Amino acid sequence: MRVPRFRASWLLVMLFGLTLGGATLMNVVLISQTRKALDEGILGDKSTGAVFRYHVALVIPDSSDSFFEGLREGVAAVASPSGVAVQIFRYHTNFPEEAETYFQLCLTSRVDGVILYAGSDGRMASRRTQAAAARVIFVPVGTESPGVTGQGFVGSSSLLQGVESGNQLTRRLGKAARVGLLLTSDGDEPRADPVYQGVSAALKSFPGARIVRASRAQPGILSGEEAASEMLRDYPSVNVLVCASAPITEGAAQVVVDLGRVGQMLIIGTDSSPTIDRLVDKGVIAASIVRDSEKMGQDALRAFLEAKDGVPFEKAIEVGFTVRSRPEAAR
Amino acid sequence: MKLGTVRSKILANSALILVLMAGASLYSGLASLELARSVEVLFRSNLGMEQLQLTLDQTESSFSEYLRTKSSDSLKDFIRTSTLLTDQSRTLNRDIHDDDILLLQRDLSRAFDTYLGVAEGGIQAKRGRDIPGYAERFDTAEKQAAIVRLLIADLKDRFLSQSLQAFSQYRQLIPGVLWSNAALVLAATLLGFSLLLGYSRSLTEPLSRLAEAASAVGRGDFQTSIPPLESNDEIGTLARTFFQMQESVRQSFQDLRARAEVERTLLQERMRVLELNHRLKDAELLALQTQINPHFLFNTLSAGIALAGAEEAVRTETFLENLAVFIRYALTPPDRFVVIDDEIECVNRYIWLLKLRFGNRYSFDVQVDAQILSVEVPALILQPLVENAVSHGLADRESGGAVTVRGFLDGDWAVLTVRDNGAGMNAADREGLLSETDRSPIHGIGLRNVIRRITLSTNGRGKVELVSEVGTGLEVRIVIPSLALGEPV
Repeated sequence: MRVPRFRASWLLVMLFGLTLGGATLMNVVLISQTRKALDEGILGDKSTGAVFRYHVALVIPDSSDSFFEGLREGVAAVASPSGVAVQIFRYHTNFPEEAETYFQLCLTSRVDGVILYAGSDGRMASRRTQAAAARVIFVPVGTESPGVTGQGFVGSSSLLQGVESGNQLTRRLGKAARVGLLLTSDGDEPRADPVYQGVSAALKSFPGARIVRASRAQPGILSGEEAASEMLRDYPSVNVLVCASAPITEGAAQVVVDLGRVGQMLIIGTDSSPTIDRLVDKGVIAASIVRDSEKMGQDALRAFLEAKDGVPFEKAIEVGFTVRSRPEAAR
Repeated sequence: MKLGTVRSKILANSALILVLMAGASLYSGLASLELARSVEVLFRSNLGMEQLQLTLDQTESSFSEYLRTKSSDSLKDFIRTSTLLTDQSRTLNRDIHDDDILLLQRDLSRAFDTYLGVAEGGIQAKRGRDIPGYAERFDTAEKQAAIVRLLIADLKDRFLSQSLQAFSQYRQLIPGVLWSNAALVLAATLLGFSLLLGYSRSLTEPLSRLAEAASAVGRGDFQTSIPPLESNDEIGTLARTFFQMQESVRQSFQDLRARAEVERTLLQERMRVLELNHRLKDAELLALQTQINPHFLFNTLSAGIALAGAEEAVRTETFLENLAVFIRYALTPPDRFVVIDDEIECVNRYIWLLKLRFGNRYSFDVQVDAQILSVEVPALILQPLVENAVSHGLADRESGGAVTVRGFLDGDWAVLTVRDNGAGMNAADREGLLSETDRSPIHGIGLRNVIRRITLSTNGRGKVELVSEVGTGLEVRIVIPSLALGEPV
């Protein structure tokens, strides 16, 4: 039997055939990846996905404050298993009026529920009325309960936060405490701020301890640094900084580190974030009063669900706080 | 078209390459179209939002125009645009999905419903002349239109954001797609070229082998073998036919070579026969000459001359000297040529010897013209004739016998005659002497020897004639060309 000779030209045919197959396969893969990239974005038809029972809008500030991230996570944690689709509207912290706009948008769109963090802007009662007229369940969340019987609210009291902050600093400095209080930008007179009142109440048991200065940080990511720098520059007697939010806490700690006053300047912070937790572990921040915003979000959505089930949302829910401090063994 | 032919193979190969290239180009083109379509779809949602906003503006304009003028045209415009707005809003999502854009679409669609409901309420209030009612609804509609615009703007932003995000990923992949497209086309081209190379080689290699074999045949090399081709196409047929032709030509050449060998052998045999004949003639000539050259006599005579000289026997010494000269002349090589003058001298010495032997019994007369004395003739052609005349012609005559030797020129011919007046010779005997086959002892072998030598030395032009009648003697007549003598036989 004659054995056919193997020719170089057929080797080329095989080589370029494989190259062609490889190039075609690569092209198909790349094209499909391109389609996938588009499908996952604007071209994706998600309308064929699962249909949820309720449509809830969460209106919160567009802030880097971990408090609001916790709030969102808390809402989402309960929403998904409950068949609730959550739509988030973030309003600019410099323009709190946007919160009202989004609220009106939700009413116009007749969503099933609105969870709104709007601070103390005095519009809570009218919003309740408008929402009821539009048959939209309104769940306000925040720090200060309106204190009106029969009006539902989910919050973490700033007054109690202030009291705990005062307790933490007096536990460490006692009567020697000279407090510089750095408050959030939303609000008017610092002395009327619940945090101020809470700290002040805690200091009453320690004669000599006092609030040297209370000031509000301006909105922005460097608000804490600015406020803390001014405080330490203008009031050298201050030996403890009480910070009313996570961004202020991180900024103040950074200033203390930069000035080399770690160990000399006591910092009582608010809330939790990876930066705050690290600074607490290093001893830069003595303690942080952590409002349980995640629980706040969970309770808010549960209140919505109960209202949809016919249970009127008329009670105030206080989610409380925990204290994050350096373990004793690590000190 | 028959399958398996060269034409069908070329067509199949070309079709395969064309299909390959067309497929690659088509696929590349479709891939490019797919990319182009993706870009078009990318921004389609934003176009939809633009149309919604435009329709909203028109609806809002016609609504305010109607409230301001209450014109039927503005009402028609409102109905038309609001209907269009309703239709357009129905393209938006209205279900609850866990997706920001779908939820925004739901917000927008429901906001349109709310807005249109308020606006229609305003229209009704206007028609009912409820001034506070349509004024309030106008304000509400304005606020809701602002919210709708906010939603549209938000959706557009999100569409644009998602589009840009998607386009960013898309853009990262595009160079790879384009490069792979280029690689695809290049690979298809190279594959096509390789196929062409392979097929052309498979088609032309048998032809090359055939050409090499044909060249070898052209050089006369019929041993070059062609590898067997199993293909059934024209090339295979050509190769098989060529192989048969090569075998046929090879066989023909072998036959021709064998025939040439036989002819060469025959020619060699003929040459050998000719050589043998030639040698035979030489041998015969040598034998004839040998018969008349008694060498031993010359040596003996030389001793006799010395003896006679010693004994002072003058006559005997003269006799022996003449005899020795004669014998020395006779012992010269048979193929030697001499002039007639030498032949005459030899004949005179021989006659002297005959006179010594026979006394006056015979008379001898020798007369030769001086014109022919220098003509060259074979040696020893006259002495045998004189000897024959005495021995045979005059043998029966006791006296009166005469021998006459004559030599003269006859035109271009030299003529030598030896005549006796003896018994003569009849015609039959003359014919027998002149015949090649005659072996009669008459006149012995001397005359035939002369006749053959004359014939051989002149290439047949010279001749010997016998003129005689019974009772009138015999004349032997030698005729030879006077100028052409001496040419080798």
